Amino acid sequence: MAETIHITEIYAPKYEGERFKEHRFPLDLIEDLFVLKEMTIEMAKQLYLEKNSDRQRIPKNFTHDVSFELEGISPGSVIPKIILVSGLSGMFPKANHTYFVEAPQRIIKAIEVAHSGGANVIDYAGPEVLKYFDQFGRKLRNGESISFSKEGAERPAVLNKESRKRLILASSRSNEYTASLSVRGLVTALDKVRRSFDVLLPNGVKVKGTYNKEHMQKLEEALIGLEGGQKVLIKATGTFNASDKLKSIHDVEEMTLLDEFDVPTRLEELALLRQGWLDGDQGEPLSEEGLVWLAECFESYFNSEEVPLPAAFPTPEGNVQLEWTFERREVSLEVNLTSKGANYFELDITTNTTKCEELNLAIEADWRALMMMLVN
Amino acid sequence: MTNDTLLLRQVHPSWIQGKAISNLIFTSQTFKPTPKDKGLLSLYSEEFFTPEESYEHFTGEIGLESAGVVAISKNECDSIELTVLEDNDPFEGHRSLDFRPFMGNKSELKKKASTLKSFASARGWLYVPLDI
Repeated sequence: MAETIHITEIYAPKYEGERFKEHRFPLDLIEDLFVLKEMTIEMAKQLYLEKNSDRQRIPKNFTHDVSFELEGISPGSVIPKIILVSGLSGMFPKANHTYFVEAPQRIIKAIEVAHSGGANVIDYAGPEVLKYFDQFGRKLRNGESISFSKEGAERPAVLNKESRKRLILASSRSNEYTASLSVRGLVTALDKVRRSFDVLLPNGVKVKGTYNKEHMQKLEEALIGLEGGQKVLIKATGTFNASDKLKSIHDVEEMTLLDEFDVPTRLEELALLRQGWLDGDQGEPLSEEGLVWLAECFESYFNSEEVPLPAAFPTPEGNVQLEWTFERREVSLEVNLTSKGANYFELDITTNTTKCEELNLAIEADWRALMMMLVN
Repeated sequence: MTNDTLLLRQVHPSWIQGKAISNLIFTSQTFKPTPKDKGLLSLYSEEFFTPEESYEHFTGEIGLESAGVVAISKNECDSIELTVLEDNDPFEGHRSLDFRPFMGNKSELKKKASTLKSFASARGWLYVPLDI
């Protein structure tokens, strides 16, 4: 029996970053593949109109007999392989097939231009296509990217937070873009009629957000706890302006009430310290990059079920000192935000004996060693 | 100055954490001289200042920031071989805790700072302004 379909591999986007090291594809990102399909169809339509300038409209059956399918996920970080399955007209693919094969190449070219900082993104994909980047790659985190290899190209086209932002802004009239975010702050107002809330961020900026019914109870608790400094962690989608200023929060996925000694929250506060914070002459500012690193490591490796959360303080040299007070022990951990080394110091106040250890917090094993020392 | 005389120490606002006074923690660095101190930690003698007066003096006349006042006794300083100098300089009632013999020994400095924090924590806050 003659084969009635034609298969072409059109995308093999390589997801790279910490989350993909185990070669598994987070379900959170499944939506990306659907959006990529929709964007490709829009691009194919644009190509049709470009090449048939005498036509005003797309033919009615343009997408008929064409489907996008996930053939598998290849190892090497995570690579979902997407194929185009199209019907045959006699021995050859149908006429519309060519637009669907060319469309991914144009999308990849637009990504490549955005990644290299080029201003002519719009030459490759129109606003109707680019607007799909508002959803595609939205859940990429810092340090994560999606690479698209192109035949004959020296370097792949890379979609990361920065190139995605350029692609969206190229299509946006309002000069805004969206991205997933994780913010900590105080809930200062709640409007149950409009289902909106105000959150005060550590930098003193107040941002409005909208919420769904399932998050109302947490918001109420946070508002009641406002006087006592009750902070919340909100994981949602944020709308940002071209200067990366957060304008609003929507599509809340998670709302968590934070402990008053939540370390990442405290580290965000310490990031605001300016030169001379101690007494005008002394007090180095703390490296923002170093603080983000420490917050991420702390969230990944510190088990607050086993050991209470520490207090976190800046040091005059611009580093961080974590401190724990146990029944008979005073413990401090001075963390160098540049070298990622740390000095563990423990004083047993009943025996007046001390214990000192040098740790390298860039490696997981030393976090485990830290936990062991704190537990004992 | 007697063995029981309290020596008052101002705590920098960035060196406290916690919301309620019952849970307001301060760092052991409060009792560790900074490079500018040159081994002499500044204290107020309770014989000249109440905790509130020391706070007002520190934030008003001296013009520095304080989140509140904690204290250690002369006896506690003696117990860890730290000498209290009755220098009355730069103002009457000023005392200096002499860390100079230990400045080259980081671990010893941490030990003394942690011990003093433990003494002061056990005593609790002596003064915290209302807006903290």
